[in-house]
Amino acid sequence: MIRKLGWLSGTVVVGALWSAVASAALGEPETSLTAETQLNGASIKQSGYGAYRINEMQLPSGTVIREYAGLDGKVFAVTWSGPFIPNLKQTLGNYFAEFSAQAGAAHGTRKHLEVRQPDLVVESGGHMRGHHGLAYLPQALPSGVSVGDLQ
Amino acid sequence: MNSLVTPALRGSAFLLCLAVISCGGGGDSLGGSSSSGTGTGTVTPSSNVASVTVSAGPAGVNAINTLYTTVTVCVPGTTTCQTIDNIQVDTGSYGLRLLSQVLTLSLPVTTAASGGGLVECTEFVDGYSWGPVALVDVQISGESASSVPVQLIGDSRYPTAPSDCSSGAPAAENTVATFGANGILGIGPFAQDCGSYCAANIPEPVEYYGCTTSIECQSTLVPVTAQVQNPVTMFTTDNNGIIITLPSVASAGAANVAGSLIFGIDTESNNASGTETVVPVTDQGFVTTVFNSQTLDESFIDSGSNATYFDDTSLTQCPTSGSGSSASISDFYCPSSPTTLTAEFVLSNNSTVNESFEVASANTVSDTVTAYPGLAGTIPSLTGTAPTMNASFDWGLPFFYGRRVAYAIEGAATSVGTGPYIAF
Repeated sequence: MIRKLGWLSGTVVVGALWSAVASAALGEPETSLTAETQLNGASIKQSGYGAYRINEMQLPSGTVIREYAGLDGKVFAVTWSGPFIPNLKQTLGNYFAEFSAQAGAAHGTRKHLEVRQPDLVVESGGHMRGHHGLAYLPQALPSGVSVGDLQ
Repeated sequence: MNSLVTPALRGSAFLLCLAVISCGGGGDSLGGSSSSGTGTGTVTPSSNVASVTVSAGPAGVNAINTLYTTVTVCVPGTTTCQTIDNIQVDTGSYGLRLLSQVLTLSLPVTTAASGGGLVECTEFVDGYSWGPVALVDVQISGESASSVPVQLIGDSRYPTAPSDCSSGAPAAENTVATFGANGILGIGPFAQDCGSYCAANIPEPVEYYGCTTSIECQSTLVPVTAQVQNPVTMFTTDNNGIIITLPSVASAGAANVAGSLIFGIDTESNNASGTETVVPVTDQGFVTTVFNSQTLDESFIDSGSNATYFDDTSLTQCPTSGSGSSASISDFYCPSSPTTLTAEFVLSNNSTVNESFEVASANTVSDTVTAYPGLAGTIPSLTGTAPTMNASFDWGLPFFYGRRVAYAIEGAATSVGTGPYIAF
């Protein structure tokens, strides 16, 4: 493994911000708003829709991430939209490995990638300067909620 | 990895391709259309016109609905040049990127603001490409640009990408086989791949690095002019945009469809604007499409997408079949017969214009076909009643068949508008 102390120090600001903004990832407890209030680089919105809550975070790069959490507090879906693809290792959490393994076998193009597994769906799309994506856990959707209906 | 779609779609064609000398060659154009007046097919050769072909690409790639051209690059200020074919023409990216695997020129790496060589992690949706930035003189048809910053993908001087590089997309695309082309010519409506943001901020995941050794790299700011540049904007003439013309393609598909890439808009007799529809483009490169009563404001028109990607749950998806996920094309549509659907584009005055498109079965693509207008795939979307994200319709290369599509670069004023815009 190579040593990359330099670039690690270069990215630590954004990394720390992210970890404070979204300590949560797909399948994990939702973002702590207490931690979020300590932030000054990202804007946070929270709204509720009965069976689930949405935490919306705008990263300094302009990319907006929404996490959808059930009433049990666990994130069952995330979306992103903005000029840069977010760090999916953090956004997908423990599901990044499954995403990576399946993405290699998927019919990806440079503008479109779709992974559909029984327990994980990821769609990543867009192009340079404009990206969007959706990831969700089909088996973790709150009762009565379908992905197509998410706000 | 465009190629991944094709083995599943083609079956034995992939093996057949490996057995013959050339899978992509030939120049038989479809329909023989050569009238610039109709706005389709190829146009009369001129100093601002490059030939483009929808071909299978480099040997073994077996691409479908992928547009290629030929580019000549030279050591700056010299006549030491190399002509490289099978360069993908991509209106969904910005800048020229070459696979080091095919490059024979010796090119010094540019210097990063933070020190060391400037090396880029280019994040595509399905993978990343890692490699340094170098300057080349670019020649395409009769157009030329001097000292253009380009990316050399897979360069042995920087063999290992930082782990951060794979955090947006998992797969490395640093070889011709994994990239699906000898390079990519990003000629969408912006002048740089990142722009002013990367001159003042470090994005996450990091895009540009300064590497003091082959493996020690740190993130760096990059002045706008040192970033990888859309070479069209650096041409001495005809530098305000591009026009792609391709002939119509029958539903059954065709092989090696020839078209033209015209440089400039309203700069020569062959690139004059007329009465075309002008669609505004956002600063992220998006247009707005309305489909099935959904307003999809992150849609895009992209020569670098190999199909029409959209969400329509009423269409039949292809069956999940074969062994292993690579044999399944269930994320493509497989209607029993070709069907025509209609969407709309939203224009700057909020009026709309209809756009019809074809969806044909992805299961019935002939082995020899490289252009298949009905190829269409799914996008899972959030389409609740409130405005949502992930509202996208990806108009890929099928959109370009049988028409003339212009891309005006940001800030460029033409007789029908100011870029960025797309007109057809």
